[in-house]
Amino acid sequence: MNDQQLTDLFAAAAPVVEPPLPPGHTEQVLGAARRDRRRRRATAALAAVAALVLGGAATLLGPGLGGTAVDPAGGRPGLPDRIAGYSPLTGSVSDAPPGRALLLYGYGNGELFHTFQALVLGADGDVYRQLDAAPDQSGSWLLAPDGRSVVLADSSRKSSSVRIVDLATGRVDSVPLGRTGGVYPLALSPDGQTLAYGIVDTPQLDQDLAQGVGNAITSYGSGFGTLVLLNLRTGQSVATDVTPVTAVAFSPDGGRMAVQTRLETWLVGADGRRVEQVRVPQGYGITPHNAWSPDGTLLALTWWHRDSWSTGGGGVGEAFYPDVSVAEPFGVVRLDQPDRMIVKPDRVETFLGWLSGTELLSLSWDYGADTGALWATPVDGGAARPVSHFDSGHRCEYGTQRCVPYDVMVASRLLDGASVRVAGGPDRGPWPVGFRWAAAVPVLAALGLVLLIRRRRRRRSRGTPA
Amino acid sequence: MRAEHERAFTEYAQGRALELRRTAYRLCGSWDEAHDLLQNALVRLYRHWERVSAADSPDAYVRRMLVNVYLEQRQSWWSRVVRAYAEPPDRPAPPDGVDGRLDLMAALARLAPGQRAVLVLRYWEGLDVAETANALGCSTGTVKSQSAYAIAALRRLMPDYVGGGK
Repeated sequence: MNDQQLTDLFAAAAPVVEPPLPPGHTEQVLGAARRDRRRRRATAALAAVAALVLGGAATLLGPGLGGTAVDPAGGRPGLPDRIAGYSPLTGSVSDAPPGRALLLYGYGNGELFHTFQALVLGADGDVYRQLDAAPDQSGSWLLAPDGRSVVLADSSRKSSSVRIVDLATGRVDSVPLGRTGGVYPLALSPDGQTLAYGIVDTPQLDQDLAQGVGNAITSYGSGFGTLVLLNLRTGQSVATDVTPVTAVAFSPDGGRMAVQTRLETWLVGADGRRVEQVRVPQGYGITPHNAWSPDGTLLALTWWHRDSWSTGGGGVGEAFYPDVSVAEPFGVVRLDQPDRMIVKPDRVETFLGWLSGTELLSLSWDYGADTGALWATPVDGGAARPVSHFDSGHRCEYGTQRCVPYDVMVASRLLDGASVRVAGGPDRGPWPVGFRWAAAVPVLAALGLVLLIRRRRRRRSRGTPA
Repeated sequence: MRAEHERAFTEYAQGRALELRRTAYRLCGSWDEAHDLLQNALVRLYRHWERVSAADSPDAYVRRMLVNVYLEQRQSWWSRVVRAYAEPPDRPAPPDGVDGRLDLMAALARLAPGQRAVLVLRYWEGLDVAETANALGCSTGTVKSQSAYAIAALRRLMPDYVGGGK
């Protein structure tokens, strides 16, 4: 049977009478085609919505990629002897709350590329989370003494509220202040209920904020800011007679405060009234945070610098800030004998808090390890020792720069008596949402490729039947 | 779809409907099923009309759509269950016992869908090997080999045909 014979065979096939097309055939086809198109579009839209819903649900509710629930332990907190390096895959507080935190710090570098994170280090394990409520700022914040919340203020503009981040739930609440101005948080009471903050409102502040001058609020606040005590639970404020204010430290029982105003240190009651001046050595004042020792007997001091300023509009004033460039920038005094330094530790670059009644914790460079470190310094004059190191690798700015810690704050009550332990593997929680979606793209692409190949194979098999 | 495209589609469908349905009938052997095949192919054509109408040879696209619809229906679970005629054998039936009175349509119905499509396109629609390969979405070599298998099967199914003994 050759080709011609086959052609003849088909040509000679019994002729059939073709039935006519049904009336309105084209209209039927058009109607069916339009319905088909609508159905396909609806299906595609539904599939897209379903994918978004499923992806969103996985993003919000799923365990993420490597995330584990943090046990909200109430035991003894531990400080890891090595603080994990920078990772863009570190999850967020809102995605996976860390429970209570021991450390709050900015971390990164930005010489060429902006790689910066606001991080909390959990008190109950090697838990690291990005403080996504403050993704691009640091400094204008406080970590509660019990490590369970963070207070955030806006350092770039005037505001009329502060935000509270609950580290156990990830929830962010706004607490109104009752007035508007440049707000700078100063200290939280030991129970975390009372916020001491400064508020300033001067014409020069408006001008500098408009021009994006850094530290404008704290700078003007140190010359004009008024101390206010805010009950975070009730929202009630207590105005004080302390103006200006630059630093506050609550006593361990929360009943009093050591307050720095200009170059003077005062004890102020919980009602906001001055009690008495603490006559520390000339030029010194309390450290910006956690100055009061946990046993209530010591105050950590730092050197305060006075700077005068003037503006083109005729404004003049003074600003006060800690100055660590002097020979002995830190010291410790007894409250009952405040004019006499008991120690001037020489390895302190940034005072952080008290490890105990006899040892303070600072952030200083470790030249041996060539990286930043947390140091324990005895107040009896003994040698300081590094207890924890930051990562020394070049992980910032796409592997070109070393990461640097900024504006480190410790949870003062957790730090008191915290143990130093061997660091484990970091628990960074679920990847940030953007990375999870990005990771989903190649997975979906691979799935699509598999389906495409299967479809092509099926088509080929149809064209080549056995 | 924009109005001018829909108008062009309507004109094309009206002008080609009978010819396409005839091809569909040759593929499936039933006017009712051919009508369904035509409708499904035209619905698919409507979906891709803007691209197909811009092609040099819309007929080749439409023919391929028709063949695809036919093959998809033949492969579906539903068609295997409800089809009124016998399932094509995996291998062509042996000459022994084959009813010599099978006419061409009956013989074609005994072939696998792909083999039937190859024969219909090549020897009834008059396409050459390349055009048949295009319509089936396979290579020319596949068309040739499948043609040989289909012809061998047809020869066994139609032993009384004058050329059947060759």
